[in-house]
Amino acid sequence: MAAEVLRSATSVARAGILRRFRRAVLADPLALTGVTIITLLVLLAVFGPWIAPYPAQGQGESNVAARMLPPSATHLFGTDGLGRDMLSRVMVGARPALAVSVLVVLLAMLIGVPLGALAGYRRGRLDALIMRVTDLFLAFPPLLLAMAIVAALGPGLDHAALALAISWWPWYARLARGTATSLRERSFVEAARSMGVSEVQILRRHIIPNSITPILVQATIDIGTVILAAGSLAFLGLGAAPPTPDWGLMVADGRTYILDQWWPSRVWRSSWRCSRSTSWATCWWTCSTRGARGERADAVGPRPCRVVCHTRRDHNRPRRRQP
Amino acid sequence: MLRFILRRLAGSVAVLFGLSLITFALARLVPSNAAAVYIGPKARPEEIARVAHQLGLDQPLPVQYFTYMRDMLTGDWGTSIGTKQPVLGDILGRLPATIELIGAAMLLAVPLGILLGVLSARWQRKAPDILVRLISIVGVSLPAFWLGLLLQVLFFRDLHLLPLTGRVDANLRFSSPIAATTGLYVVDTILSGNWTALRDVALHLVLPALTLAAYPIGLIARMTRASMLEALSQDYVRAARAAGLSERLITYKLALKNALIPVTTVIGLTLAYSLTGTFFVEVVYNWPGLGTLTVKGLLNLDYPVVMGVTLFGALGYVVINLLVDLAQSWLDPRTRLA
Amino acid sequence: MSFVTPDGTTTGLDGVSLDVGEGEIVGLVGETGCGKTITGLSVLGLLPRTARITRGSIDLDGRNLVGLSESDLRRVRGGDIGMVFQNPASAFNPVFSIGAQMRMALGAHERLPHAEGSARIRDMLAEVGLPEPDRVLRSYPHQLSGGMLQRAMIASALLCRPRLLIADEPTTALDVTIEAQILRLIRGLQESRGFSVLFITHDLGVVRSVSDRVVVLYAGRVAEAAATAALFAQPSHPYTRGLIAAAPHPAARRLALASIPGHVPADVGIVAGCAFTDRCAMAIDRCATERPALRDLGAGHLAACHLAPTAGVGA
Repeated sequence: MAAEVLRSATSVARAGILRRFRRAVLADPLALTGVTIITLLVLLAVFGPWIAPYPAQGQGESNVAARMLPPSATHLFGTDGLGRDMLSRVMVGARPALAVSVLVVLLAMLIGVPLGALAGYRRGRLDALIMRVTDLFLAFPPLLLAMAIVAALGPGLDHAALALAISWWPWYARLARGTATSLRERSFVEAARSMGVSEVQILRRHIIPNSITPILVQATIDIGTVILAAGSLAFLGLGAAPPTPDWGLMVADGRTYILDQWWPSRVWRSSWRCSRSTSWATCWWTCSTRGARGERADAVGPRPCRVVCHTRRDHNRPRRRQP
Repeated sequence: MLRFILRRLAGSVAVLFGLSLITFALARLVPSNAAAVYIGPKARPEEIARVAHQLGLDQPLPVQYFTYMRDMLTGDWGTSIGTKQPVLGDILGRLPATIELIGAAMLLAVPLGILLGVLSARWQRKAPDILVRLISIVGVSLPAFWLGLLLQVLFFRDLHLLPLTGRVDANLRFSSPIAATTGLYVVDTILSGNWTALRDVALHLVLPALTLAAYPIGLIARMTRASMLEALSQDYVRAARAAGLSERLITYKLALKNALIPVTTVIGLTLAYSLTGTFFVEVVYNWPGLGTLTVKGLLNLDYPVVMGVTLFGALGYVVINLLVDLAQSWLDPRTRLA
Repeated sequence: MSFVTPDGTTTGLDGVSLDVGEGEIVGLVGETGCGKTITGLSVLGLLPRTARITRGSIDLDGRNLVGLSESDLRRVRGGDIGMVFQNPASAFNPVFSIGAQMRMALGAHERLPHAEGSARIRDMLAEVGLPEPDRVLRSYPHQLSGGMLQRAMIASALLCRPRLLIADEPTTALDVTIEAQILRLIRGLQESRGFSVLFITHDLGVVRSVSDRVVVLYAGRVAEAAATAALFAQPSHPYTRGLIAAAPHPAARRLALASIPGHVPADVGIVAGCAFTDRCAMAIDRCATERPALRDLGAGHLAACHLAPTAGVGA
C-alpha cells in the first residue's frame, strides 16, 4: 500500500520534472543554447576520436609539411605549428578535458562529502576541527593552491588533476556539513538513532542521500569550472604536457603566432564557451527543476527512508538491547 | 564595532598560521631534494650537501618551521632563486603594478555589474534582461587569457587603437619620465601633471583592465539580478507600492540596498578571483606585476618566490574577507554587533 | 478576477461585490484561500503578475480604479486609500529606519518642508499610542516588537489622510492581548478621523468586535452580507453558520470542536452550482446545478443560498 503510494508519487513527480524541464528550456533561449552546447560537448567527448577528420593528428602525430595552414576546406580550423589539424585536436581534446574534470569533481566529492557529513552530524570538536581545516584550504585565493601544488609536484595532467581535487574538496565538505546539520534534527534520523542504527549507517543511508541535491547542483556547475581551471593551468605550463591535445595548451601554443596567424587561438572560443556553458545551462536546468527535485526529494527521499526504517526494524531486532 | 574587528583579526591570524604551515609543507616536504633544485641540475653531491646545510634543510622539521616562521615575521621571506634578491622586496616592488590593474578592473566591474544587474531585474523577461544575462554568461565563461588574446588581436592588430603589451611606452622614460611617488602610474602622472604620460598609461591600462573585469562583471551582474529579484518579491516592496511610492524609488533605493547585501560577498569573491586572475592577464599583456613574477617562479620552481606570493595572496584574501564583513554590517543593520 | 498560469486558468474571485460606505467598517471574513486578501489587493491594483481582472470595476467616489494609469494609481495608493498588512515585521524594509520609511511614505504624496513633515509624523505616532516617538523613528524594524510595528504601520498608512483603510489581517500575527489593543486603536482612529475601513480577517471574533457590517466570502464568491448584529443573530447561509459553530466557545469546553468537513473547491469558475454544495449538510439537488443568487432577505441582509429564508431558523 505504501509502495503504491510511493510509486504513484514518484511517477507524478517525475512526469512533472520532465515537463517542467522541457518548458523551462524551450522558453529561455539562453538555457536552450547552453543545453545544446553541453550535448555537443558530451558527444564530442564520447565520440571524438571517431568523428575527427584526422584522428592521429588529433592525438599528436605531426605533419610538419602542412604547418600553419590557414582554415580551408581540408582543414576547417587550419593547422598548428606542427602541421596538425586543429579541428581534430579540438575534438579529440574534448575527451581528456571532460574526463579530467569529471574525475576531479568526483574525487573532491568523495573526499569532501563524507568528511562534511561527518562533521555536520557529529558536531562538537570533530566538527570544529574539520571546519578549521576546510577554512584553511578555502583561505587560499582560488587556483593559487592548485598552482603551488602543481609547481611542487611537477607539471602533468595527473598532477594538475590531483591539485585541483585538493583545491575543490573543501567546498563539498562545507555543503555537506550544512545539509547534515539541518538533517540531523529531522524525525527520521532521530528515529533511526533511537533504533540503534550505527552512525555510519545513518550517514550512509539517510544523511548523504538526502543532501545530494545541492551537492549535485554544485558538482555539475563545477565540472565546467574545472575544465576552465585545468585549461588555465595548462596555459601557464602547469598542466597537461604536449602532445596531449589540451585546449589550454593549444591556446598557449597559438599565442606565439597570434599576430600573424590568428587561427590557433581563435578557434578555441567554441571549445571554451562549451565548458562554461555547461555550468550555466546546468544552473538554469537545476533552478527550474529544483522545485520539482525538491519536491521529489521530499516525496521520495524521507519517505522511503521512513519506510525502510520501519521495515528494517525487524532486521535490527537482534541489535536492540533487550529490555 | 572595534571588538568585532579585533575578534575577526584574531581569527585571521590563526588562519594565517595554518596557511604558513601548508605553504611550508609544500615547499619543504614535497620536492624530493630542495637543495638540489636550488643549485641546479649539475651540482655535485658535496655541493648539494653544503647548500642543504646552508639553507638549514638538514635540521629537523619543527626547527625548520620555527626558523621559517621567525624569518617570515621579521621580514626575511627568503631569497629568490631566479633574481637572487630578497623575495619580500621583489613582491613589494611589483605590487603597485598589480594593484593598479586590479583597482582599475574592479572600479570598472563593480558599478557596471551592479547597474546591469539592476536593469536586468527591473525589466525582467524583456530585452535588457536577456542582453544582460548573455553578457554575464559570456563574461563568466570566457577564460581571461583567451579574452585577452582576442582583445589584443582586435584592438591592436586589426584596429590599431590600443597598445599590445606593457604598462607604458618605453620611450617615455626619456621624453616624459614618470615620477614614481606611489608606484601607481595613473596617480603619479596626475600628481605631477604629466599629461602625455597619463594618456599613454591610461591607454595601456584599458585592455588588461577590461580583460580582468570580464569575469567580475558577469558574476556581479548575475548576483545583483538574482538578489534584486528576490528583494523585489518581498513584502516590504508590496507595502511600499501600496503606500504609493514610485517604482524608481522602490527599485533604486529600497530594493537595491537590500539586494546589495549578498552582492558584497560576491564582490569580495571577485576580488579574490582577481588575485589569481591577474596572473593570466599579466602574462598575456606582459604586465610587470606580481602575476608575471609568480608564473615565472612557478615554472622555474623558485620556491621562495612562490611561497612568498602564496602567503601574500592569502593575506590579501583575509583582508578582503574582513572588508566584506565590515561592508555587510554597515549595509545590514540586523547584523551589526553593537 | 482570475489567475493565469501555464498550468491553466483558475478563477480567483467570482462576482464579488462590495460596498464600503463612508465612515463604515466593513469586515471581510473567510477561510484561507477564499480570496479575501486578493480582494483587498485588487482595490489598489497590487495583484500578482499572474492575476487578471476579467470583469468588474472598483469605484472610489465615482472614479473607476480599474484601468487607471500607473501614475494616477500611485496617487490613490497611500493618498486616498491606505493599506495595512498582516506581518508588520516583513512589511517594513529591514535596512531602513522607521522614520526614514515614514518620511518616504509622506514624501510620495505631499511636498512638506522638513519640519512640518517631521511634526506630522510625530503627531501620528503619538496618536497611535507609541511613546518616545523619536526613539521609534530612529529604530530599525528588527528592534521593535510586533505590536509597536503594527502601530507604526497604521500610522504610516494614515499619514496622508486616506479616506479608506484596507486592513489585511492586521492582527493575525499578534498576541491576543496586543490584538485587542490594535483593534481598539483602529476603532478609535476611525471614530476620530472618520475614514472607512475594509477589515479583512479569518477570525469571526475579531470581525464581530470591530465591524459595522460583515461580508462572508467562500471560494471566491460572496456567501452572505449583513450588518454585524444581524449576521450573528440570524446567520442565513450554511457556511456562515458552520463558521460560527466552529469557533471555540469557552462555555462548551468539554465538547468536541465542530468543523466543516470537506475542502474548498480549487477552481470555483468551473463549479456550476453552489460552491458549498459538497460540504453543506442541507444541500438539495438544485444546489448542485443552479448557482444561488445573492438575494436580499430584508433590511440589507444578503445571502446566496437557495434555502435562505427558511434556513434562518435555528443553528
